[in-house]
Amino acid sequence: MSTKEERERIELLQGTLDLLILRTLVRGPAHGHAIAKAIEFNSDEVLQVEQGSLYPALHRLIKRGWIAVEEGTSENNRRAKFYRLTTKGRKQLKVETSKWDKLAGAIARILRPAE
Amino acid sequence: MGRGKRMLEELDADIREHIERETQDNIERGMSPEEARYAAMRKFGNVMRVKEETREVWCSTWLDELWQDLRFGLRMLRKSPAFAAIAVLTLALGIGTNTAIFSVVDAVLLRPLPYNDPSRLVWATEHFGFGPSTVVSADFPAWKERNHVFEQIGASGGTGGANLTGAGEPTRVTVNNVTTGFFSMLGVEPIVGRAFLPSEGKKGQEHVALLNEDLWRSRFGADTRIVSKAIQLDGTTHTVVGVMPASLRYPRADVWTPLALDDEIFSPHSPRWMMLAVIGRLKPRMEMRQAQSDLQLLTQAMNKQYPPQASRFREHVAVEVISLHEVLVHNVRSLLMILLGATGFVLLIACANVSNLLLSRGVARGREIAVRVALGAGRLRLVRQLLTEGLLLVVIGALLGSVTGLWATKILKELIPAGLPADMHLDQRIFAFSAVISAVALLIFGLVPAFIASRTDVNETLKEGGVHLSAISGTHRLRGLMAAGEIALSLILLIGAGLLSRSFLRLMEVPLGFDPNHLLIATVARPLTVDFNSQLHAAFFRDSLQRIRSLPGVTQAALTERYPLGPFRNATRIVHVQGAEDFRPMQPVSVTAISPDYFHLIGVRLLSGRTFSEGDVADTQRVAVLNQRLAHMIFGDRNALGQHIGFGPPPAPWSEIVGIVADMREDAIEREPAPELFVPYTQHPSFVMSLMLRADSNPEALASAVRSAVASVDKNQPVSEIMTMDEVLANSVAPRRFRALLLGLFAALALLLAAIGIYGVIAYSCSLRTCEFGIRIALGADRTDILKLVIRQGFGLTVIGLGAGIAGAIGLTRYLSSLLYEVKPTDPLTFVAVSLILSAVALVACYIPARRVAEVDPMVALSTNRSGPQ
Repeated sequence: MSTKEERERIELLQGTLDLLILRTLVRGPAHGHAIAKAIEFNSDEVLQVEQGSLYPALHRLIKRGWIAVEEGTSENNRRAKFYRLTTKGRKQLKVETSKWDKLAGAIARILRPAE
Repeated sequence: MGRGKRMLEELDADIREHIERETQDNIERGMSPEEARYAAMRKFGNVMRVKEETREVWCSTWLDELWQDLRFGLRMLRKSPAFAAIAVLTLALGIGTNTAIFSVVDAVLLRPLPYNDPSRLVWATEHFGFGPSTVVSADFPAWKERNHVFEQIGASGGTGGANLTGAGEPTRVTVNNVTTGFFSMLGVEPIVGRAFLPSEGKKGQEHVALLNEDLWRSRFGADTRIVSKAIQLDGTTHTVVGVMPASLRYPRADVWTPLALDDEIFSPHSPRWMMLAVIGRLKPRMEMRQAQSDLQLLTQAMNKQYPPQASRFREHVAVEVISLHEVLVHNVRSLLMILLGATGFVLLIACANVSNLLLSRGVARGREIAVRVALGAGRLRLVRQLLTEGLLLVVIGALLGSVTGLWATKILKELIPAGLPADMHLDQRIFAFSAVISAVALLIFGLVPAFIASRTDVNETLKEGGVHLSAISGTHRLRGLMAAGEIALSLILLIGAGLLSRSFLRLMEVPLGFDPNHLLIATVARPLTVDFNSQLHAAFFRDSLQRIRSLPGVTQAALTERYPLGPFRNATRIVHVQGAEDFRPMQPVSVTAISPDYFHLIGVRLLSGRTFSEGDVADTQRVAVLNQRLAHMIFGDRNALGQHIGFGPPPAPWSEIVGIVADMREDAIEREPAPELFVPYTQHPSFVMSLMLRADSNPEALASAVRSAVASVDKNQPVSEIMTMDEVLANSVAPRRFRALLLGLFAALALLLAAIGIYGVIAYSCSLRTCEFGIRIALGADRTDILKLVIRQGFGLTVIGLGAGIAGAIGLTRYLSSLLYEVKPTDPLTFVAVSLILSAVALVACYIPARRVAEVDPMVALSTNRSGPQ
């Protein structure tokens, strides 16, 4: 079923999607589709986001109060739901980012101990 | 949740929007609309799952998972209904018996008395080194006037009786005298009318009465206009002032009248004193110890006021103050604790059984659990799943158990002492208790197997085809130990029940000393009127006796002041011996007035001399008959006949001893015969006598004839009580029989559960070893060898259980000793017999699965690769 290209993409670790969404929203409010596109684009299409999985994540973040939702109109004048980072979310992003850095560093050290 | 609800409502629209944008993008990249839409859908993923997961975000996950577990648990239970039924019934038995006994314990021991601020109510009494504990009426005024410890203090006389006439059929009612402030001290208000006024506690004013609600309803049709009406008690007019609620059970009576405190009986120089029960309400923060020493000083100070001849019994007087609640429940406390312990054992056995069942299933479900672990289920989640299944069992069991338990409380009402104002309530306390023991049960039986099962090693289990051998051997030892523990606990209960039953049987074998067959006893109490004339009473009883004798069906009839095993109505007297004035008898002696043929009627043997005759009347020489014990106590081996004795307040005339009769059990079957003295009723008339007759067939059928015979002598004379001797005997052993039955019932439950337990363990181990046994048989093993192998395993467990049980029983049965009769708490016969019974039951429980597995066809056995019983 899967093509070679798809196999080279990396499946997202649990919880990582939350981090990516928060990171994406730092640049300003965005609607769901735009967030998905941005994640894909910014990772040079390495990260494969099954776009649907965005929605549980968005709802989870809203429930935790890290992002908020507001009605607005999109670039082509269509009704759209915009997600916006809250102050709490901004703080959380910092925490999560530093955690991620630590984790990534640790894994990197294990994988390449000689370097 | 409102925010989440709105978000979820818009989710469909959001998803549609999203997919449209993606489709649009794809079209812009040059795809055909159809292609573009398909690609967008694929990229989005499974819409249903997305929606599901999004919804889950907003649901409370804890409750959600619990719900999942519950549904799964129900499904699992439905899949194995036999397991579910046994487990639920077992738990229902355990929880039900505990709830039932607890509801009694709660009503009797835990709930405060239904009086105002009951913790300050105390009971005060004097001890004189002999006789009953009571307060001599002459001490009461000092207690009342000069104490420093009570806010209020009240007294009640012993409950007596009176003939109630002038309100329909004459009837006998119980009457109690109380000081006027007694009920207000308890804090109990009349439901109709008023309580006694202080002025009614004076001589001449005391002819007022409070009715018990029960009497008021049954006799006066609950008519509130009864207040200020007159009733006749023993021919004296009393004005009814009010009605007390039936819930007031202390002091017990149908009618209460005031105690006149200026009566002669309250003087130290009175020729007779009254025995009082004294209740006081302590001042706030006053301790019982202080009250006791205060009253002790007052009582000692009173000693000087008494005439010198009283000094002998006054010198060692000791006052005791105990809480009223304690006095009322004292008799049943240890019994209730024993029963609570017994039901606790039943619950433990039930838990061990269910635990065993769950363990079997846990191991049997090894494969399922392993698969779930392999699929990523967390261990904690698994433990929770197994616990939830346990929770389901326990909840259903508890509901079932509480219902049956509450039904059982109807039978257990007998455990509540008659004088205790307590009723069993089914309220949140009982349900809370039920819930707590259910939770404890769940922890005991649920956690261990859940934990063990969740430690399943995935790889091993899947490789072994569902059976993980190390897990089995580990749990197997535990299961064996639990079965042995069940045997031990049930052995302890069985031994307890065995000891009580044996006591009961010993009691039934006791020679009574009289012939109880076909006897009817009708007790008649003459009114204690002002113009009391004892000779008139004697004449009344003589006439009644004559009429009863001539009734058809009556073979013999006689009169006695007191009948065997009946209430203690007669006097006790200190006996003096003429010519041996220095002789000091040890104890007061029961003196019973009888008619001449009483001994003949009741079948007491005359040992020497003669019984009374019609010639022994008021104006002839006073005569007395002694029982053997009294004769021996006074005269030893010397001849008692012809000696003269005196009894009663001086100057008592001497009575000649004309006969000695054999002893009989008068006080209680379990009580050794006491020294007794009999006198002719014509010389010592009494106003309460029992007419006793022996019928040629069913004595009960004569009851109404006896009533009318009495009424034909005096139409205002009710019969207080009419009973056959069989009933008297049954009543006298009823508490003992009830206790033995109750403990026997619990022990039988325990035995049943333990048998199921050991059966379960052996059957399970057999099913695991089916394959092994198949090989053995195929290799030529005898089937009886297999049978022996299995039974040996079960017998090993039984022996361990018996050993532990006997050790436990030796430690515990001494708490039963106060309930035993002529049986030692370590009675070897009971221990051996019960152990044998239990072993036999255990052997049968092992034999059934053993035989089944020994008969297995090796071909079938070898082809099964099953994980265990389902």
